[in-house]
Amino acid sequence: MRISLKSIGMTVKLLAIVALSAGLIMSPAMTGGVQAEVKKLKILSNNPFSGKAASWGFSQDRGVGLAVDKVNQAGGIKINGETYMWEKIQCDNRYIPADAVSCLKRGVAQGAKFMCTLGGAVTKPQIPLINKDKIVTIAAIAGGADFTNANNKYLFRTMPSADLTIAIEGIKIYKKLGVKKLVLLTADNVLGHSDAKTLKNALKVNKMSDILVAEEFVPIDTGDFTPVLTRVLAKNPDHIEGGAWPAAGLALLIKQARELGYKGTFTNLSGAPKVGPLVKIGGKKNVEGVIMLRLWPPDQLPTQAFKDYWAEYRKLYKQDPGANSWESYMAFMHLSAAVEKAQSLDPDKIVAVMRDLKIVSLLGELQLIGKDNPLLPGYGINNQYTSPLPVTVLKDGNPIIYK
Amino acid sequence: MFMQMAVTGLVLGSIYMLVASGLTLIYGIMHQVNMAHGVFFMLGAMATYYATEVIGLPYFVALFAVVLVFPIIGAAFERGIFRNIRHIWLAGYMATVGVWMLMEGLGWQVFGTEQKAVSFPITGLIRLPGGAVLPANKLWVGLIAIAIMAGVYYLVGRTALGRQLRAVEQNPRAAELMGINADRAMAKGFALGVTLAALAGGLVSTLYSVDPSCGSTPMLKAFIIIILGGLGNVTGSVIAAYILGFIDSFGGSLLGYQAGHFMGFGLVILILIFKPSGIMGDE
Repeated sequence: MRISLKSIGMTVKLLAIVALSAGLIMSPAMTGGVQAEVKKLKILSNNPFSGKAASWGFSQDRGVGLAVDKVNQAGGIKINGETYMWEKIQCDNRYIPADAVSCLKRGVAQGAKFMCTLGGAVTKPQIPLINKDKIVTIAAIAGGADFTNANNKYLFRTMPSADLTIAIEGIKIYKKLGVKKLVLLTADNVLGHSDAKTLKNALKVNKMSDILVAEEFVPIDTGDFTPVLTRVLAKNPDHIEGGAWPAAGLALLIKQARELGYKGTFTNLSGAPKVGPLVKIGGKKNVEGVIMLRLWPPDQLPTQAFKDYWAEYRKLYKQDPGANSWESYMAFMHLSAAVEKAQSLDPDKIVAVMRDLKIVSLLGELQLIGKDNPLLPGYGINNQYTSPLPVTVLKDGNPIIYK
Repeated sequence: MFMQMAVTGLVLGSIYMLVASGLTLIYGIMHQVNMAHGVFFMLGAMATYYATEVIGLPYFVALFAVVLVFPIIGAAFERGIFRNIRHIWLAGYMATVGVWMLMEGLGWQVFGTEQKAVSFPITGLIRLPGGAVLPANKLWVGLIAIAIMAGVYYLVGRTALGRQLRAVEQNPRAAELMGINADRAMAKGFALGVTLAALAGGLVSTLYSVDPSCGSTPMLKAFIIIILGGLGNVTGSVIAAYILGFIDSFGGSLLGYQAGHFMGFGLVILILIFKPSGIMGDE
């Protein structure tokens, strides 16, 4: 039997027509079946995905992404009988304030009513728009009452503020270490300056102002700290507070300080840098003894849910999660539960529910604090998430709980 | 403290000189601003990282591999993107901006989000008179940068290729009448500039961290240097690099980071006001 090219072409065409017809017949419109319409709830991930703060941005974005997938896989959320699925849309703000505002405007134009973002430096200029457009926002920001206050009712802080990290834990650590000459060498942005203000207030309250011998601010993308270190090391400090550096910045700061002969101790109370790159770039020997907050040692995770989260993150991204990832994961789960409980998309109703809602998440019970809390002066509103705050110290390249 | 500032200034100047050399060369030959310069710096740093830390090649072998591979990448970039639009200044400029944005964005997807580190084979501290210290890796990077610049001077000043490049730089049409293939000479010049950027990335990666954005700050410094030195003038950019290195060191140490930064940019503005062509630029 001879098969011509023409007959093959005809056969292909026939098969295509049959497949198309089958598709049409099976479609809901032809069969008369009606699928329930699934609506979308958009959350804007307004984060740095490039530049020196990108590790923070990816960390938060992935945490929210895992939470979005979790809620959607469980069938989404139901509001007044209608099913809603979450959709995360991304915008790279490069950790530049103007870009973050542009991202927010773009997100609003795309229909986002919710947002996750990070960094006081880029969140501050977004606040007027967040308030005007009532964008329910979960944000990893240190700072203090400048951010969390009764005027900013749509802005929820996913991490402990500087009033807890620096003013409470920081002072405890300095006392325990017996710090006599403290240098603050932090990022030259809103976060760094806010940290400095909080630190100076806390030192004053504790009658320790005289230990602060120098404060310096350098850009977050600094690679060579040698000139500024030459300046501050001339004051013979015994402790350097890094404040708010991502891993690479802190690692280079420590490495170069050690190269210049600095023998004292380091803390980094706001930044929660990832340990892997910190050790690799800074050198295991150099970063030995660095004390940090918000980081859990992988072998000391407190709950099974957290262990499962850690394992899932590692499986997906081939690296350990950063603090921003689990903090934003928990905050998003709380937000999503609040939207469902409010049975409304009205931002005012949602934020009212959020403030009273308690859920069990990765680190146990999750709730919002801030109002009438003596540790959080001037907040006046329950817009800060609270969860256990670990203090870790690096030993032989690994974080362990600092006692 | 003075000695430490002087040593830091020398090291920073050498690093800046190396980073700016490729940019100066490309501008000198093609009169085109290459906004993708930082991308080639980053790719050189990444190539060195993968060659040493992932594949396990010795550091200097990895650096040699960069020298072998990047001329091809540079020539391909010149032929594929740059050649057809280089006579339209704005189109060439925008094309290199596009490459910069695209490659940096792609870099985060391809190379991942974790910052990386490259180890230099020589470690330790050198103690100098006056209480100054100099990390051995910085000393070596500075010395290699000086050696590379000496090589560039020799290549441009004493070889047949250098004569071709200088001829094309002065007058491409006249060079063609003298039997020089201007297109080919420009491709070689561009390839050389790209290789210098990649080499700078490979060397500087041992001092700082490596990520897809790591070329942006060096590129900014390089631009300050080539404006300060006189656009396209290699000697001018060497002088400008050391001036900037000393300003960063002395300014940052004595007055704080911001003051040092302000002094650097302030000097550029002053030079642009009083000598717009830069320190060694032709009027």
